[in-house]
Amino acid sequence: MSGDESLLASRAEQLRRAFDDSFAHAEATAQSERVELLIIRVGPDPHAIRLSETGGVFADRRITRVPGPLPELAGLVSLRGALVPVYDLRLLLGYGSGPPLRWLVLDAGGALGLGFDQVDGHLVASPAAIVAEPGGANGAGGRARHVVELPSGGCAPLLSVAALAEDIEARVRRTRPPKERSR
Amino acid sequence: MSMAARWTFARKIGVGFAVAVLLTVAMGAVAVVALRSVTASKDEVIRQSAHLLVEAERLHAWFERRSSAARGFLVAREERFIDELRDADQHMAASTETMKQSVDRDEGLSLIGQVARAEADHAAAIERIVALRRTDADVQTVARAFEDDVLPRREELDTRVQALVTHVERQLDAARTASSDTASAAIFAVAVIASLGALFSAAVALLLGRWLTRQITGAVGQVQSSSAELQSSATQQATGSREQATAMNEITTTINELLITSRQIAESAVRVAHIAEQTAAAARSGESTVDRAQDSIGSIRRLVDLVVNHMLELGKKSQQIGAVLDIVSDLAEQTNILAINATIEATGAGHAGERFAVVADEIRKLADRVTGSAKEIRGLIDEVRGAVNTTVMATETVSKAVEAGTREFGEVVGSLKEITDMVGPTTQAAREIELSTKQQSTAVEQVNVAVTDVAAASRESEASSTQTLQTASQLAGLSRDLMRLVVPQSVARARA
Repeated sequence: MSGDESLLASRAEQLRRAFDDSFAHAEATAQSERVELLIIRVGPDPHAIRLSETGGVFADRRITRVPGPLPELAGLVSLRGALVPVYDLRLLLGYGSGPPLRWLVLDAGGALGLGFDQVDGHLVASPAAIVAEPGGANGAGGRARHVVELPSGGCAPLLSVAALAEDIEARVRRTRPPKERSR
Repeated sequence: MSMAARWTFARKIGVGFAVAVLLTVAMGAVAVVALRSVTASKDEVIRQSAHLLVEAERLHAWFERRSSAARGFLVAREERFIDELRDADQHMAASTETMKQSVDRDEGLSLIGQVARAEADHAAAIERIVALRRTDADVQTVARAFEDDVLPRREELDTRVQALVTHVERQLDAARTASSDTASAAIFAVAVIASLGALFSAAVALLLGRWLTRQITGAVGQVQSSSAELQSSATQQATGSREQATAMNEITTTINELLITSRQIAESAVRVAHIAEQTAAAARSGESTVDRAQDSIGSIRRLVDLVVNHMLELGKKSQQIGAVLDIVSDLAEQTNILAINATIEATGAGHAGERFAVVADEIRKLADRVTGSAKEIRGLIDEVRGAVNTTVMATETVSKAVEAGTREFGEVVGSLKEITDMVGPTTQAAREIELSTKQQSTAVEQVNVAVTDVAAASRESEASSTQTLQTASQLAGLSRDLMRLVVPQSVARARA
C-alpha cells in the first residue's frame, strides 16, 4: 500500500512540474513543418483528420433527428447559435450504424458536422509521417488517399473533411429539384 | 402282496404241517370209522346169522330129541319120554319164538312161520300117536299110523327147517358180502384220503419250498445289497471319521490360538481400562482449556466483525474516490476538447494565433496527462475495490469459518463432555470386557477339552467304522453262503 501511495505522490509531483515547466519554456516559434491531426475512431478503426480542415470538436451534443435527402444524415445540432446538419461518418465510410454518436467535428466553414464514436487523441506529425496509400489513388467521396503512422504503431487513414463536405453537398444538390437547383 | 406272502416262515410251515396233520387225522378217523363199521357189520352178521343157525340147529336137535322121545314112548310106553317130549316141545316153541325175534325180513318170518306150522303139525301128529299108543292099540297100527302120520310131518318139518337153515346161510353170505363191500369201500376211502393227503403234502411242500426259496432269495438279496450299502456307508463313515478327526485337530489348534487371543484381549482390556481412566483425567483437565479457547474464539469473532466493517467502509471510500475521479476525468476531457478547439482557432488565426496555439497545445498535453493519470488512478481504485471486495469476501468467509468453528467447537465441547461422561461407562465396560474375556478364556479351555474328547470320539468312531466295514464284509460273505445254500445255480451264475 505504501508503494501505491508513493507512486501517486510521484505522479502528482511529475504533473505539477510539467505544468510549471510549460511556462518556463522559451517562446515557441512557428513551425510550418508540423501537421496537427485529430485521431478519431470510426467503428473499430482509427482515422486521422487534419485540424486545419475542422472548425471545432464537440462532445455530448444533443442531435435532433430530422428527415433528410441522404440516409447518412443523423440530425441537426445547435452549435454556436447555428443549426448544423450532422452526418454519420460510420455510414459515410461504409461501417454501418452503431450506438448513438457522442463526438462530432465541424468542417472548416461550420456548415456541417461529422459524427463518430470516440476521440483517441491529438497528434502533431511531421509531413513525412503522411504517406500516400498504396493503390489508394482514388479519393472519391472524401475517402482516404493517405495514411498516417501512429506513435503507438500501425497507421490510420487520413480523412479529408473538405472532400467529405463537398461530396455530401454534391449528393444533396443532386437530390434537389432542377428549379431549386438553378436558383 | 397277498396275505400268505406276509406270513412268517414258522406260520407257513406250521400251517402246512397242520393241514397235513389234519388230513392224516381225517384219514385215520375215516379208517377207524370204516373199520368200526366193518367190524360192527360183521359182528352183526355173525351174531344174527350164527344166532339163527344155532337156533335152527337147536330147533333141529330138539326136534330130533322129541322124535326120539316119541319113539321111546312108542317103544317103551314110559312116561318119562312123555316128559322129554313136552320139554322138547317147550324148547322148540322157545327156539321158534327166538328165531322170530331175530329175523327182520319177511322171507325169514315166512320160513319161520312155515317151520312153526310144520312143527305144530308134527307135534299134533306126535300127540295123536301118543294118544294112540295109550289106547293099547297094536304096535303095527301104531307103527303104521306113525309112518303115515308122523313121518310125513317130520319130513315136512325137516324140509322147512332145512329151508330156514339155507335161508339163514344165504343171508349170512349176503351179510358177509355186504360187510366185505363196506370194508372195501372203507379201504378205498382211506386210500383216497391217503392219496389226497400225500398229494396235498407234496403240494404244500412244493409251495413252501418255492415260497421259502423266493422269500429267502429276496431277503438274501436285500441282505446282500444292504451289506454292500453298509460297506459303502462304513467306508464313507470311516473317511468322514478320519476327516472329522483331522478337522478336530485343526479346531483344537484354532481353539488354542483363540485361547491365546482371548488372553491377549484380556490384557488389552486391562490396558483399555487404564487408558480410559487416564482419558477421564485428561478430559477433566481439558475442560478449563476449552473454556479459554471459547473466550479466544469470541475475541476472534469480534475482531473479524470489526475488520469486515472497516473493509466495507474502505469500499465506500473507494466509491467516493471513483466519483471524484469521474469528475476529474470529465474535466480533463473537457479541457482536452477546449485545447483542441483552441488549437483549431489558433490555426485559423494564422500567425497571430501561433503563441496561443503553443499554450493550447500545452494545455492539451496537460489534459492528456491528467486523463492518463485519471485512467491509472481508475485502475488503482478498481484494484483497491477488487481487493476490498476480495478482502470482504474473505473476511466473510473467515467470519463464517469462525462461526462454523465456534459451532463446531461447541460440538467439540459437547463431544468432550460426552467423552467425559462416557469415559466412566467405558472404563466399566472395559472392566466387564476384561471379566468376560477371562470367562471366555475359561470357556474356551473347556471347549478345548470338549473338542479333545470329540477328537478321541472321532478316532473311536473311525475304529468302529472299520469294525463295521469288516462286519459288513462278513455279512456279505454270509449272505453269499446263504444264497448258495438256497439257490446254488444263482451263485454259480453270478460267479460265471
